[in-house]
Amino acid sequence: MKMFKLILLKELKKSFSFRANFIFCLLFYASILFLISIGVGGERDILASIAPGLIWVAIILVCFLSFEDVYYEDYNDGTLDLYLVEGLSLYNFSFIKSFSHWLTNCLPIIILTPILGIFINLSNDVIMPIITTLLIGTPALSFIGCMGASLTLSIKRHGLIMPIIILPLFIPILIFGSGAISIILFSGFEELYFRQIALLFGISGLSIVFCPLISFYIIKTNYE
Amino acid sequence: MEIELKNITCERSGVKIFEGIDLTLNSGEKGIIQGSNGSGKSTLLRSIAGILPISSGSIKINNKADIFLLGHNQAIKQDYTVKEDLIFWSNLYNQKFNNELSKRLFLSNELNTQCKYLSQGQKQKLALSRLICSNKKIWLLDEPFSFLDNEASKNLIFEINNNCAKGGIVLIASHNDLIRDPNLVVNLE
Repeated sequence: MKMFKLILLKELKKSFSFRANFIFCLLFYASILFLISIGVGGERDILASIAPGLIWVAIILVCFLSFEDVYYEDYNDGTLDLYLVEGLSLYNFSFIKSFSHWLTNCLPIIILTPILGIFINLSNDVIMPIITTLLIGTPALSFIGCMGASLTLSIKRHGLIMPIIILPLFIPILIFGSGAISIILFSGFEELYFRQIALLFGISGLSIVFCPLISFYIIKTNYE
Repeated sequence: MEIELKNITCERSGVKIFEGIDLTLNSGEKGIIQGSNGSGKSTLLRSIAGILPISSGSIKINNKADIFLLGHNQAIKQDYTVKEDLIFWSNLYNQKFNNELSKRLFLSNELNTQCKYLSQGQKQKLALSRLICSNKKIWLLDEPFSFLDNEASKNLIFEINNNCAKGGIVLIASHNDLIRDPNLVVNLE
């Protein structure tokens, strides 16, 4: 447990350092929302109608940028070797990487979304349901994405390989995530909303449990 | 404390790296692994450390938690200072980093230097400083004298002899003959 906490804190410190990727990811997310709001000519009805999908597409695109070197540095500079000698399991290592990715990439975006909501004409009464949807659905993005990153472990610039692998896995999250927000925005049927949330919850839960396990086998194969 | 290898064979992608390796090291002993480039010295050390699987044979180590591996890659993060790096690894090894300890370190004068400004020799010294901080007894060292100056090499030899005198075990993969009186020499040719 102590090793888990130490390595997690190290990952968080690395991610939140000034030159880290996460500032670029936040700026990229804000840019997408800002540019599209200008691109559609500021038509508030159009923005309101595309807001659900727009938020999720923007988050997915930001995630693609941040998966590039999740494992590469630690695998190639010998850090992972030292962790393994100390008894850290590859499952825990994958979990730490995925969890710290969510904390440093998705969580700041979720906090920023209500503020950026003015660009896409989000009303105040839908902010909480949107944040709930994102809080429940984005862990799946992080854990699945980090699993995909383990496939390109030894490649520094994996280009399009990893997005091609994980994009199909992101589609259900996109459908249920944007669907849940659409229901709250346009129909207000709470029961349907909760069903979408339950599906998102299930996908995230399965991802949190199984993706580190799959990463474990992939990284182990790289060693063998 | 003991390291015992019996008939170890290692294969990667169908290529035999080494085969039929036997060695036994007891408390207080030091061993040398020799061989040309590509003969499998690093692979053997990493297999003993438990990172790489072996194809056949058995590896028996009484206390695996007491292993310290010094590999080719020094696991140095550029944005850390030397002190931050040593504190992190000391905490990971459940040891306390303190000023008394820092006097024995190879890099005691550069504690506040950022790792990205270290030379290759200084990075190697940092990796060796972690060895001192770890308080581990079984040392698996891959080319530990690489990039070291004469003084640092003498200090390392002192620390190796000191560890063996206290009942530790040291196994070194090395091209040079700075270790004068090894208890065991394994040649991987």
